[in-house]
Amino acid sequence: MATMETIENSDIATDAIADGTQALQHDAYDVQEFDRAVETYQRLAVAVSSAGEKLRTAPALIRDLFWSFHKRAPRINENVALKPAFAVNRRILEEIMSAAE
Amino acid sequence: MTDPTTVNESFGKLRAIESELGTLFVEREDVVRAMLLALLSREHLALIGPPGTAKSMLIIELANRVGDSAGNGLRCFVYLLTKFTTPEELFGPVSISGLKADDYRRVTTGKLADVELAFLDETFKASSAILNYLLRLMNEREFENGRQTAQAPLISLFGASNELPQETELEALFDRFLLRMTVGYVSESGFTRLQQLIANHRARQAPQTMTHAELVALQQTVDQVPVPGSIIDTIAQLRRDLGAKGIRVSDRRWGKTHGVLRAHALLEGRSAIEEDDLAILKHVLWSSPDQQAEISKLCARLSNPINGKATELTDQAASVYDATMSAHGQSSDTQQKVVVVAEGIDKLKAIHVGLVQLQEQAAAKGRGAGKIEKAVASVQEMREKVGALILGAM
Repeated sequence: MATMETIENSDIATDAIADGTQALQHDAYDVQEFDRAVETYQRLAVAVSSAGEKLRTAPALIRDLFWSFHKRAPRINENVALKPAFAVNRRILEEIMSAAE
Repeated sequence: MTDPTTVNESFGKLRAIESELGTLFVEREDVVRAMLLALLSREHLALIGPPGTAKSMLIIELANRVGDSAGNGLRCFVYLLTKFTTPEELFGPVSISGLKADDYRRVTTGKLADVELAFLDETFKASSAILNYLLRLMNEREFENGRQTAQAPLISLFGASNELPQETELEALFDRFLLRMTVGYVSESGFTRLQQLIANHRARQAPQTMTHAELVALQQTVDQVPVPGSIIDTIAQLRRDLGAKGIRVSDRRWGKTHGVLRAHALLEGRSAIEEDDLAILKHVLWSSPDQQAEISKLCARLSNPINGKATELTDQAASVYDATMSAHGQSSDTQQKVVVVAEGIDKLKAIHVGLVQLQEQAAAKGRGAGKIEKAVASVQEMREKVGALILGAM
């Protein structure tokens, strides 16, 4: 959570991403955690930006992957209707999350 | 010029009426405030929401509390519109004696053009024949009756509807409602209070009242509340911010916001409009429900940034709460349920800590922390509900 100084100046995410691009179940807090990680870690910001230039669906996949490691109970959202281009992200996540290690 | 002592007494009565109605109707504090703002600024209020949400009862209770010295309340006209409602039903039958004198006038006694307060349920079912009269009555407070144009005593018209107007011809009518609110059924915790209120129903004490003359004195005081230059700058900033989000508000509505802001400042006991008053514009500037959250956020940020952040954190907590409840319901095994709940509790705790910090910050800056306290209580309630799931999961 942000400190008192940063709460006043930071953008607070108030909604989950519901545009059919995210395969993982998440909430506004998760959205903010990822945004804050991008702000804090330069390498992550560069990775998101450069991957997005090569593949439009990559930033959403990185966000899902981040949550799959960051969240205590990551879960693929079976009910969400993903945009066709982003459906492959769900399959990638299923593979990664089903790996035993 | 109105006497300051009389105004102070009237103001005290108005606040007492607000408090009384707030106690009488569960989770309707915002609606009561909007109704009083409408009365003070002589504007109209639209309530959008399902039937059975105490809209008409609220208006009748308010009308009974403002009246003449003989104890008669404001004259009030309540009617449910259908698409077949005729002008006669709202504005009175055509006068037979008038017709004999070749004058097509109506007998308006007790009808819409003869009252101070009106409530039209299903307002947006008004036919074009009714609109012709209604638009002028709402805007100019005039009623064309036969050969004469009569001044109507209407202070405020309250409209209610299940849905927003769909037809283009009704847009002008919707635009006449400067104040707009969506009203829903009471929440789960509110429902318990509602049941208790009904169960413990006792003979009520005589309600707090004020005279029509006192209301008029307050309206005159509202007109004198100054609008500082800094507020005009902030309103201009709000207009730019809304424009950047693709939300356009007519110049007429922007112009009329001053009246509502003045009334709000008076109700808050301020002698001039302050930035805190701008939050009320969330009930003025929207034209479709999807704009409400964005407008509310921008108004809160500009009016009181700390309250704005508290609102955002509450929204974030609601998102966490909904996601946790949904994931808990979908989890089949106990271990998974426990992990889901633990994650939700951690997040809500972090949000709660953020709100407490905002509370301290507000206190340090000498700002009121009432809204933040409500936010803290709301998040605390979510924490308790999510925490209770652990017991169910064990």
